[in-house]
Amino acid sequence: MSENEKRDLKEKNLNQNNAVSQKHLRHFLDIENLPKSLILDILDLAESFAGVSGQPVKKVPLLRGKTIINLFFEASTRTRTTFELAAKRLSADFLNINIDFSATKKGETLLDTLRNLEAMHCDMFIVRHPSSGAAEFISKNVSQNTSVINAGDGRHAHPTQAMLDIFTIRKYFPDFTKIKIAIVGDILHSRVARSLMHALRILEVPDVRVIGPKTLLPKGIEHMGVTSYVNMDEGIKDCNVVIMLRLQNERMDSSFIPDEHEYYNLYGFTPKRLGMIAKNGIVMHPGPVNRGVEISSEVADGDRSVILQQVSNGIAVRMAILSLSMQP
Amino acid sequence: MNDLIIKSGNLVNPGGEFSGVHDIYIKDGVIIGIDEDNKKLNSPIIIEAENCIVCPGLVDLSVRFREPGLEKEATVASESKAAVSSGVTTVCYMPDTQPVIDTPAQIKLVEEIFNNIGICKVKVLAALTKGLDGNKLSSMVELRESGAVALTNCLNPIRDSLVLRRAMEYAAGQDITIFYQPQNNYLANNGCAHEGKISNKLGLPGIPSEAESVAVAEAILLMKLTGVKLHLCRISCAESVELIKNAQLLNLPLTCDVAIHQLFFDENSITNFNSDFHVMPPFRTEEDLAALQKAISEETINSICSDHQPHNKDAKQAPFSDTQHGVSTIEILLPLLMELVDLKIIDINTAIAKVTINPANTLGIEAGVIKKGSAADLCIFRRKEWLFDDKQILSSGKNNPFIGKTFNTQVEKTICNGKIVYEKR
Repeated sequence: MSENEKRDLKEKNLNQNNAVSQKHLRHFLDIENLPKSLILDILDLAESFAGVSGQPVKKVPLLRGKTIINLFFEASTRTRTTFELAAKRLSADFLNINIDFSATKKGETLLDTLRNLEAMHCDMFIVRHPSSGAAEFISKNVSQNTSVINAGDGRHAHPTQAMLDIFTIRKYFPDFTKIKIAIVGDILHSRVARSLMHALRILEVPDVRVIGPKTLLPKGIEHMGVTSYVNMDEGIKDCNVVIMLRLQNERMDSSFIPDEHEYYNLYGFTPKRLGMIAKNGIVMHPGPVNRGVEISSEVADGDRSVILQQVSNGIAVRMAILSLSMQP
Repeated sequence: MNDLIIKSGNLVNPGGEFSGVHDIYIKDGVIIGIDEDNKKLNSPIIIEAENCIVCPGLVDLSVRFREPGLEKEATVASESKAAVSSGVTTVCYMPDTQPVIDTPAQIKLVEEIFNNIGICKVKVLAALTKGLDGNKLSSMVELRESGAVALTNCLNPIRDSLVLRRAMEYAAGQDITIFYQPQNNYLANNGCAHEGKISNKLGLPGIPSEAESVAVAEAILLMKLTGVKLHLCRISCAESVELIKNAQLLNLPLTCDVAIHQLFFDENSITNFNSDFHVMPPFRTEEDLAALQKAISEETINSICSDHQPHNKDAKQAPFSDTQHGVSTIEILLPLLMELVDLKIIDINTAIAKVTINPANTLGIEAGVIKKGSAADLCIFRRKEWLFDDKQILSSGKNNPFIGKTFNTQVEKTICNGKIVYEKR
């Protein structure tokens, strides 16, 4: 294939991606290609929605008459409910589809499930799926008036989580260009980590570190603009933000790490390690938290932890994303 | 059957003594002479091949036409037409059909399907282990006597190295060639993309190059131990090439092939989760691509095949990792090969050898050469620009990443056993 053809193919690919026009999103699939200004706009809009949750009547009529479907092919509590609350606070009609009991279990293909739901005239799908690229696949197969929001696809992306994380970080550190951030744990399998790495790169955070055992750090992760550390004490030193990732139990069964005990010793966020980060540093976790595996209860419940604020912020950030992505 | 004279074609015939402009005389399906009009022909059809290249019919080392068992994907009838449109006259049939080709009856069945359709020839590769289960050896000698040209386990793993050793030992004793597709399944770990910068970014489960090269190293060491004739299939990475090259320096009877699509793309092709680029082994790095291109210009990789795998639309309509791997490219095998010539990666003689005489020699069959007395399997093609668009696809599988590409090589006629089986419309 000649250089020209390669370039044409690349351009074609790019054009198919999250077509972003000004302050309106066609879909919200990943963060990689979002302009910095748009990310900041979303954060600002989320800021204005943050007040809604505190009002006696927690609703604004922005999406009245619109139908949103939560299409979750994988278990979730936080993400599913905060999307539901966000949609309802925007006055949309909202449906949760529980895929465990529905058609794909009976052999229906993903595409058929989608077409059937679309025939019911919904305006937006919020999708979580165990396969990387699922949200993008769905977005290519919906009609022109339907938007797709990625609520997590395989190991690929979890862009709304990354947005709420940076929203939370901005509350404490308004200038992204002056902070050090570490992401700790199972980077290999983490869609949150991938989306965060893109977001932090776009926001020009000068020092982003990923920390974990070599088995859970993808080879060549430096291509994503981060520095990798196997030693946690070195990695978190003087960091302003430390984001802990959940360690799934099955990682022990498939020889990624020996056992929980050793993992906690090497990568558990203990009060002692809290003393190593910057004095104004905060601790984050996308949840659900494995107490005593990746983080001690003292740290998770301590005054430097912003884990529950992340959850609350999730509603406002998702309101912003839903309202920007809804087709007029 | 009419007798034929192919006049004034420019022969590219790396396995034979004749090359350059010659006339070919064909009677009863056999080449009876080159440039010698011995007047034996009976009102022959004259094919004017001036300004055309004439080469031996192509021998494709790996195809899946899906019959029996997966006719919803493709059939021998549909795929044979696609094959001859690219000058292919002999195809090696992979045994991973449903049921698996591991008995003489299955071989006969496939041969019969091809005979009934009568467009191109088939050589069956039978299963190396029963049901391709990777555990129990198939009845190798019985399969060979029934027509199997070699044995393979396709992409199905032989996890136990002892089984692989025994299979090689037994085959060596019977002078049977093993086609082995090297992949250590533990290291491949259900991945679907090359483990590298793109799989990292997309969050796709990765397959490291070492899943292949470790298996190549193991196969070469066991080959030395057992003395088997070994052909390694679908090589994809630089380390494998290096290992194979070194083994060949020791004069081991080792050959290998590469799939044509592996000579055009690298891992960057899957950016955006385009499932048409989901292949096995996966597209690897720019460096690997360069190493493969270099290895075909030398003798290290002696054959190029289509690795033709047609799928129906549903098979590619899902998130990337949930789609079937494989591309359907047999009908552009020759145009792609000639593109490599145009890109000066390989010269035309070497290119044609990789799809004719070399694979025929690996299989130990009479094919892939234009000479007096051999079957008249020929391809006549012209250097002419044409657009490969989706309306022209003959294969049932539209899973072809080259759709929309302009080629400079167009097949005019394909002749199999002296019969014109393809003519450009």
